[in-house]
Amino acid sequence: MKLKVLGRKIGMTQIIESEGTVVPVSIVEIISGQVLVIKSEESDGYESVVIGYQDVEEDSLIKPRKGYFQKLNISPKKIVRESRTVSHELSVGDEIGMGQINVGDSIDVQGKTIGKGFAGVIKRHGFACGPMSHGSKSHRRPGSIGGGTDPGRVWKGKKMAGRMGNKFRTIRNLTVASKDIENNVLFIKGSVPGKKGNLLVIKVESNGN
Amino acid sequence: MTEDKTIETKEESTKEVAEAPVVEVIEKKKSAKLSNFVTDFEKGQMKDDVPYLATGDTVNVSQMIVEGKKKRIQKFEGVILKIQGKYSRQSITVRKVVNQIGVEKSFLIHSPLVPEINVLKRGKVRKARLFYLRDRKGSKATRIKIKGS
Repeated sequence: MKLKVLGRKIGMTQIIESEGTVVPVSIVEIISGQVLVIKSEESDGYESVVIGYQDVEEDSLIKPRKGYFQKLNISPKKIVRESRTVSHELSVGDEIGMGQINVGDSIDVQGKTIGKGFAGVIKRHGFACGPMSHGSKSHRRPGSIGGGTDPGRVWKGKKMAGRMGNKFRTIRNLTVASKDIENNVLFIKGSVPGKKGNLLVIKVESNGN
Repeated sequence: MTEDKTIETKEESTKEVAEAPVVEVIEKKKSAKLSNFVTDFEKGQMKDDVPYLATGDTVNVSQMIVEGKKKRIQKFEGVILKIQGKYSRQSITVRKVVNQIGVEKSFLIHSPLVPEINVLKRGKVRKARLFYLRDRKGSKATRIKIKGS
């Protein structure tokens, strides 16, 4: 299992390398986190690391959350996520962020894709268009959706029009092209889901494994 | 101006009070920095020695060609048909006519593989993109008025 580092998408650009190769990159701002709890087999029945991200003012939290952070004696965080990972190098209060990611690492990036609304079968499933001329009126229609009296119903999972996008998706095996520690920004080769400002989960192989 | 004055007066009185507003200013600047991060990054990758280019200009572009370990420079002379993109992403498409066959090549002007661009003539054109040159034949295919004539 992998350690989760959170980030926000800033945009895309390209890096021009000294040999002339051009690398398309996504720019992601890393939201630094802090280890809150380390769960173990003996005390909790499974092993994981609970991480809080992004400092907030205490008044913006609901009361139970306030109490949670008071008990831990750690400054309040906006987002709390659990990573099912075993890491012997981490301890409570450790910073999670840029330090966990190295240039050249292979990472998985998760995030919500851009919502496309109610989309037809051509956009949603890549169906072919009907003829545009010669008297045809079947331009973007789905066509036949199945048999007649037998089976007398439409098969489950038939590809039809409907809501598209705005779903949590993972893009695997992206490489870290470069990182800017001063601005807390990561350059990832290739595209990542969603629009600018989208919250992303970057899955990194934890050091202790 | 008023802000500066207030900070100065506070510094004179006590140090602790004066430090607080300074920290605030830095944080504001940082967030503003990230909103322009992509453009700033692209501006940082730009070369300084690229001349001013406009559509209609006749240019001579040098291009580095790497063949295994060997490197050589190939030159391409023609009219700038279009300029695309901004900052370090900016590219030009250059067109010339060889044996009545039109040849177009596009160059990433801030790439290290494009070491030199020489402007030979400044063209006087009324369009941003000169795609109409593609439909022209003979002597009209390359005719562009020189700027200032």
